[in-house]
Amino acid sequence: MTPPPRTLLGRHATVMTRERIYETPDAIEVESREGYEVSRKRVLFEEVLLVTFHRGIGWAYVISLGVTGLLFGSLALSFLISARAPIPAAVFGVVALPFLAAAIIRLVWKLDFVTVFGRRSKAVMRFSLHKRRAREVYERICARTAEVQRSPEAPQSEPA
Amino acid sequence: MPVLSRDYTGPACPRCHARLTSDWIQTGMVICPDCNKPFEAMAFQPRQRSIEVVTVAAALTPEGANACANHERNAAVTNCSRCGLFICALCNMDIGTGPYCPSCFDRLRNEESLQPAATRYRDYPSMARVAMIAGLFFSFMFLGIPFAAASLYYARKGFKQLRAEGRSVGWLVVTMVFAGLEILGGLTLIIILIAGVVGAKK
Repeated sequence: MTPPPRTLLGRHATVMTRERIYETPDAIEVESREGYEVSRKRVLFEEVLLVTFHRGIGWAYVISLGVTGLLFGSLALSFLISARAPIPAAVFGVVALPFLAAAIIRLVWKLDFVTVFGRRSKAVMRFSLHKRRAREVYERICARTAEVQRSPEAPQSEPA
Repeated sequence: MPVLSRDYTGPACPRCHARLTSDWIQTGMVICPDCNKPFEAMAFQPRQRSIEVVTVAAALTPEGANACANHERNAAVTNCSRCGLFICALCNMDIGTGPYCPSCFDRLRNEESLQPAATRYRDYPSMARVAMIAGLFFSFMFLGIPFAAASLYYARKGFKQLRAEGRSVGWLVVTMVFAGLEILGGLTLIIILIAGVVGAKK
């Protein structure tokens, strides 16, 4: 049996897992990858309780990148000031730059999170640069959920 | 190995993960009672699932109805497509692959025969790609051939997986081409080596 077509909505990566979130006709599908193991769960539209949208920074990411950047930056400065060695200072400076730039970009742009809470599971999507896309996905999920839960095919009464 | 995740207990603050009581599940801008930070929310009230179960006594046919094998008071609505058991609406495990009784469903799910019910599987296309890249790195140690063979083996399984999911197989074809080239390269290297050794002996 061919599974229904699905559209990639967003991604969510943590230290341990990488998640890709898809939209299928009747659910939000979350594929979590841990190494070569993939686990799949679904948040059915007919079971969605709450959809949220918020903007955050992710302090762990900023702090780890900032500390690494400052570490290399301070090495560059110490080479420049105390040892008067411009080449190693430049090398450490170049290494420090991407870390500091990434931390600053995150502080300025922040992250947009869309979270879908179902009865039994949830899906989280995060968007770093695509702010408009995040808003679109939020509105699309809300609209689709409302449509599915309004439809007469949705379950209607308490279990027998 | 299971994916590590927090146990899900229902809607929570997306910032601090504190559980939200029903009073706080609302539409609009919500301020979390725990962390006092705002988030935008859209609340829904999904209807409960309902299963209409007909009792044997209430079945409308003059002869009554067959009883469910698991619930003797419930009228059977169908047969399990694997074992043929009469099953009622409560026991009917149909996920678009035909009606199954709970025990057959469990068995087929454990055997991974029910594709829509599969929640955990191996990512064979990625395994094929990694084996192919490892083969490229270690080809100078004559390890290209075994790695490429492993890559082709995983690619074969990956093909089935991607086709079953209706996804593109383009990258897998590229992987297989490279794995084939690794095998050819490895064999050529061995032939050159043998020819060199034989030539040196003469």
